[in-house]
Amino acid sequence: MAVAIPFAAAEERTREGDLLTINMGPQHPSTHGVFRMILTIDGETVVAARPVMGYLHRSVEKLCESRTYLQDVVFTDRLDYLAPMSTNLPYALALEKLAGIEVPERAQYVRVIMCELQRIAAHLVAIGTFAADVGTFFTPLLYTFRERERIMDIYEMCCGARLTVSYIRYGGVSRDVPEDGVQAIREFVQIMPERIDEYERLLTNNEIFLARTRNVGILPPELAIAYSVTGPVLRASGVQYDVRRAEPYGIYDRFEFDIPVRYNGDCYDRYMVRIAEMRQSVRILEQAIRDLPAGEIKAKLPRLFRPARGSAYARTESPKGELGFYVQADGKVEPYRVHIRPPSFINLTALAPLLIGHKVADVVVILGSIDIVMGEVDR
Amino acid sequence: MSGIANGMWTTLKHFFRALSDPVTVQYPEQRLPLSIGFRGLPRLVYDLESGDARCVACAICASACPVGVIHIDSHRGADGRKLLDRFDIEAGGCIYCGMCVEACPFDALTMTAGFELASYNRADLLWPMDRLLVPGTPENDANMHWIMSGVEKMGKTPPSAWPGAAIDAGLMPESARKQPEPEVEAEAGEEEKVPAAAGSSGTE
Repeated sequence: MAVAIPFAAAEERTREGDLLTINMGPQHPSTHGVFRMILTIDGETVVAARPVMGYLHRSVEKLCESRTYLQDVVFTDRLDYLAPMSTNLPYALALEKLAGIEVPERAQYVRVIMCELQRIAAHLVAIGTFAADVGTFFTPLLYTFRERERIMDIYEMCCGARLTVSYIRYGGVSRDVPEDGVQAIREFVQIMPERIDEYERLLTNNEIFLARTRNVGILPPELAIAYSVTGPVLRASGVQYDVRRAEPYGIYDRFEFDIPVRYNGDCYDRYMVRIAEMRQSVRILEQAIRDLPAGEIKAKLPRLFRPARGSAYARTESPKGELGFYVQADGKVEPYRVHIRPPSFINLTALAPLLIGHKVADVVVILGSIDIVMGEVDR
Repeated sequence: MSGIANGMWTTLKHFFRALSDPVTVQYPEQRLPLSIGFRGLPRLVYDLESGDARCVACAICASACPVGVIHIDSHRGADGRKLLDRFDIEAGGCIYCGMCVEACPFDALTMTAGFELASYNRADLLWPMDRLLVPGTPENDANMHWIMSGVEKMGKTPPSAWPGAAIDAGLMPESARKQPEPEVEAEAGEEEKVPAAAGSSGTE
């Protein structure tokens, strides 16, 4: 499919000498981490943009090669640090595919619960920081963090850590969910729909919010597909694609949920898709916590985990989009190669065409609506 | 303007709600309870009665550590057993993942609730053995078995030095006194596995 990518031919539109090249980032509060954009502007209008990545590069993929399969789990926490559970999962799935491990039923349900909680938590941060970028200052951000805090508390009950969870391991999960943890999840599921209504009261019909986000940063579906954009950004452009439905992993085929989709592809739609996805995650959580069986939480594994020579790729729907792990084993205790397909990185490549023609103030809004985490972009 | 007014009404309601029921706590003065099984800095366990550390200097924890912050030196004692000379944890590099605790075949390490480890002096971030030794046994800590529920132990017999004292102190069941094959020891561990919510208090 041939797609015209709208890079503005700057010299056609303005006289030479009118353009100004400015540097946004890497140390800028609105770039969500150490991310740099080289913007060419004509007055207030962006005519060319070049994203520069790599300031947070830690060579995680290479570090994985010198550590055992178990030790590599801790690196996955630190990729998308706003969604560590969702980042643990595809690594575990890839290893299970590689070694042919059967995961116990309870562990499957616990994984779904944790990943859907994580989707809510990550979308809460995405919506909150996006609202802060638009100019609500910090009010919605603090409201969303109030609920995120409850999720973090649930994680602390289950695995002892709030952020660097290392919870989902190959073969299952590291610890069982305690009874008070299950109770806390039940309570959370009960209060959450009402809290989502509250965020919507704050933002959805707010005239200033609408003026700043509607028809800003429109990503047409053809362009989104051409750039391999996934996640809420893709679904806001009218493409109903979700890995949980397209290629169900784990036990996602057992749950009833809708895939929210919007058709304008602007910043407002990306926000609305995230709100709708949180409601769907609550729906999945209700079903998962109702059906949570008793039993083992980890498959029986040999003491020394050493999969045979081979390779496996597993992909999941993380809060940001399609997250894939490719693991190649050569029969040793450490992987031969680990490759990560981070959704933030791929989504960020579509940033430059989105920015063209918008004002400098909208650059921050569009970047916020894509929802990037630099830990994952640069790895 | 109805959208803005609606939002303002929400914040106003919360303003009055926060006066009676605030969401935040004043951290250093007020503290929220930590969860059971919180992963803070690891500690070395020693028995209350005998004073012996459970650690046998096998250095499995050091090799399990993803960041390599555990340093162990040992020498062979007169009876051929390894004795600890040095057991240091660089708190500045520890990532609190708990891999060392899960790897330890003798339950000689546990995670503590210690997370306020800031120091004015970088040298203080190296935690030597005497600072890491905390009295008690994992069985003494609430829900240790639940915390270790996802971990498969190697089923090795603990060193003969410690169980006697721990049983006398009432910290371990009588069944742990006999020291036969590893399988029996593992079963003894299974029997006293407590249900998840039965624990009484926090880790510290």
